[in-house]
Amino acid sequence: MSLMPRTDRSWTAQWVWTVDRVTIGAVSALVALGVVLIATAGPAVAELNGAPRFHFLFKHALFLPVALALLAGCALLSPVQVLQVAGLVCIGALLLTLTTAFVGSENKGAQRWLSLGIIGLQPSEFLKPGMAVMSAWLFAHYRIVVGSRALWIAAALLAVVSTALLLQPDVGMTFMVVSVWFGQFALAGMPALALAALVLAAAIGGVVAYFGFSHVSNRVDAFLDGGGSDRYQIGRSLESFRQGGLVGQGPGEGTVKETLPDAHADFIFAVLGEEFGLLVCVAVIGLYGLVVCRGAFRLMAEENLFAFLAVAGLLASFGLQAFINMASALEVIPTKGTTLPFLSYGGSSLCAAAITLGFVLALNRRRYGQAEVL
Amino acid sequence: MNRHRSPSPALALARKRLAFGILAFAASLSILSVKLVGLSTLTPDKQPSTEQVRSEHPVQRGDIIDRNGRLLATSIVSRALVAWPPQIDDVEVVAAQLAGALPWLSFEEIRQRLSLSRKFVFVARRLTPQDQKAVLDLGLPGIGLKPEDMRIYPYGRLTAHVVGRTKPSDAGPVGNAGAEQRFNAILSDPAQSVQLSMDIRIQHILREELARAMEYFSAIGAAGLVLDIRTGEVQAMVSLPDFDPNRQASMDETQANRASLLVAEMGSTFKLLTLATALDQGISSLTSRFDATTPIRAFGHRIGDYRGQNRVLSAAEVIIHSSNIGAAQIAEKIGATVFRDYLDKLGLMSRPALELPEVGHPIVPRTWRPLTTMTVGFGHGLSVSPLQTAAAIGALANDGVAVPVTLLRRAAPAQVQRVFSPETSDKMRWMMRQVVLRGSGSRADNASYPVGGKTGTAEKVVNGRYDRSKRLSSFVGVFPIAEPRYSIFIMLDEPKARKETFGFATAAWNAVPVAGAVIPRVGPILNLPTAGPDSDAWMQDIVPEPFLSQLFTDGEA
Repeated sequence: MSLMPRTDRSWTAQWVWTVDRVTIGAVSALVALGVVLIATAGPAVAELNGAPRFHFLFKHALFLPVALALLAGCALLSPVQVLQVAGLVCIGALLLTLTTAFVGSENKGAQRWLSLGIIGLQPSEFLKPGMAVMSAWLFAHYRIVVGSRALWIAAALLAVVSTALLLQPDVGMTFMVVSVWFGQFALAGMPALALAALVLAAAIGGVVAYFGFSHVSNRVDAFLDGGGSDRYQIGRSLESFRQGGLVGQGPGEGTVKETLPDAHADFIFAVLGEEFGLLVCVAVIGLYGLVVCRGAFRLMAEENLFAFLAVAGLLASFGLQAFINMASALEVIPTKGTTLPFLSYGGSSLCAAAITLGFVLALNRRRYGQAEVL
Repeated sequence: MNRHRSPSPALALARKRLAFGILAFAASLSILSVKLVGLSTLTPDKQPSTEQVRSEHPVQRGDIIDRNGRLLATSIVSRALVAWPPQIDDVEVVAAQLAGALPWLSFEEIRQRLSLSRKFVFVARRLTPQDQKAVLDLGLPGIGLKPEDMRIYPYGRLTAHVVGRTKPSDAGPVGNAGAEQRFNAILSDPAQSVQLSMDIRIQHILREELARAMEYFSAIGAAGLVLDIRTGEVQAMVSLPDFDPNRQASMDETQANRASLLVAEMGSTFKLLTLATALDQGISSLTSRFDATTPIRAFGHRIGDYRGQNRVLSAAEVIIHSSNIGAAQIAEKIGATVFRDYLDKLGLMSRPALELPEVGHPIVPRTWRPLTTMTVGFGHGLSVSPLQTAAAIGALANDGVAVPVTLLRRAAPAQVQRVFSPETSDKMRWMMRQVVLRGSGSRADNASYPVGGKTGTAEKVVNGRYDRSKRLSSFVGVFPIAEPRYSIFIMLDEPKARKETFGFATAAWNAVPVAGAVIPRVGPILNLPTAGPDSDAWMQDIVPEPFLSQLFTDGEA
């Protein structure tokens, strides 16, 4: 960095000095750890699934440069460009998500994947950053422009997206999108009474999901009984944290990956716990906390409402996903299959997380003068 | 152009609410950390418990326990050394490394197994945990450990013949001898267990004393039984030589179950049944006279006595002196039809229903000529197993009621059959006690648990002829004789004479003392009351003192 004096007004130098370098550092640490974990868990899972030994590691290595390019690229955008790109991502992802409901390949009880030759694409992952930015703009419009009808458009957008996700069906993703939307609405000045009513509605929605979707209710049952059909996975997961102890069994020395087919994705945190131990796990929790809380603190000085709501929504989406994944592996909440951003294997998830944080970095950059969005 | 409001109030509210959001998120992450700390550091037992190991590979077979619940056979999970030959690059190198880690396996043996052109082979079974670790430490590709059921017999040789063995099969272990085979269907369900009537403590005592005598008299084999005569339960069943079912995969001929599978002419012990039948039928009384002056010559055969008294004997003396001549005469008076009927009711003419595959069929004469009746009268011509003999004498003492034998624990027998009248039973108890008090059974007695019984020394048939030097000497007894609860059978196969036995190799000198050693040791375990000083007073009620002189005419009385 010292090679780049502050007086340097070049384009790269401006980007380096105005971007949030702490967040970049945290994300880099997560990405590096992710590569190590997929290198250790990947071969065992590949053997379980009958794939070539380094299948997952190779594919992860293939996606990683793409994701990093997306992250860096998105971080370069101006707020207007973020809005434009997010709009395209949102509409594209929505159309593709609807398409998967009809032509997608079925995987573990849901149609979420579009097969594109050697890679599969899960378009719904990209709905999250797209939605967060789009609804942020709509909420900002509703607050700032007199006589705005943007709130209704935001509600309609949420309805369409939820419907598309429920068609798959993907209750977990729906839950995240809806939660982020209401989170942003709450920040955008939703009346306190309405906030309370919505919390109630969310609880009712949870109950409906519980009774409406058999595998969701199975998992909740398993969580509540301590002994349902999915107990095996969670039991193995908890056992791996016990086996890991304080400092872990050592990289590659764990066994949970040999029995859990999702060890490289949904249960990567268990692999981390077993091989690297409590201290590294807490450090990883700390990294997610750092990314989210630091981004949120920076918002306190933000003067642009759109940027504020968008960053808050993106961070909420990112943080919620990380929390759900880790809390599932630790049985703090019922098991919900979702990836751990930047750590888990999965091209779509990796790229979507990159776009999410890319948008955050772009919008959270120190700007001089007013943003031109609204 | 739309009119815009100032964003400031909206931003102020948003900042306030965002602060709540940050707090909520931080709290949620703290919960995760707390749960992590709890899981990784507060869970003490890091080793997988036995239950966990069992749940990964549940055992496939139920336990066998003795009457007090002691484990006679159980299953644990072991590991077999297996190999996938196609995945092995250099068989020589891998075999050498395995042979180095497992010294009990030869290099050649391993090399042969690994060279088989199969996808999967078993190299060795039942690896100890140390061996398992040694194999895993080698980290050889194409070599693995496969969980398998391992059958354990905690008492080893002690229960070999009764409990039996299993052999491995694709569907898990399958019983192929003893109770393991007989109850295979039940044991195949790991939730079930089989409780035998055996008491491992009595089994131990019986085996110890038999083994001692077998060695002392250089016998080639021995057998022993303790039966509960009221319930028919087999409390102990020993056959020597035996084998360790934990080590030996198959047994040889000499290790067959001599207590239930072997059938032989039992000799003089049968005379008790002959006299009992005669008493029961009113054909003879204890005082009836039989001329044993000279051997009987009948149907071209000569029936003589081992130590002839060469005089007229009372029926009681026929038993006391074990006179073949007298017994043959009593049997002749009974007649074939009646005698066979009694023997049949006593279970001596058919295979007993004991729950073991190794139960012998008696060898019953095809045609029952008058001579047959006479020889069976003193225990020749009809071959039965020790088990049948012990059960028949048990019935005699059990108030004359025959009870089917069983290897399963039970409170009361399913069906019983009266064979003799209670009076006959009483007289025969008196008779058996007299054999111990003044006959060949004296070394079976002890002060605490008075015994009654009868010896038998039969010559073995070798190449169709009786061989005088090869004997089966046996003792069958009942204790406590005043109130009979148990029958005991002791047999030595080809015992040799010793200086200490004054050159005798008959039952009185070798089989009887074994019973004399066993009974006082098992009495306390069976919770029997010890006898008082006048423990033989009951005999007065059956044969009052003044009549003794009529019974024993040689002046011994």
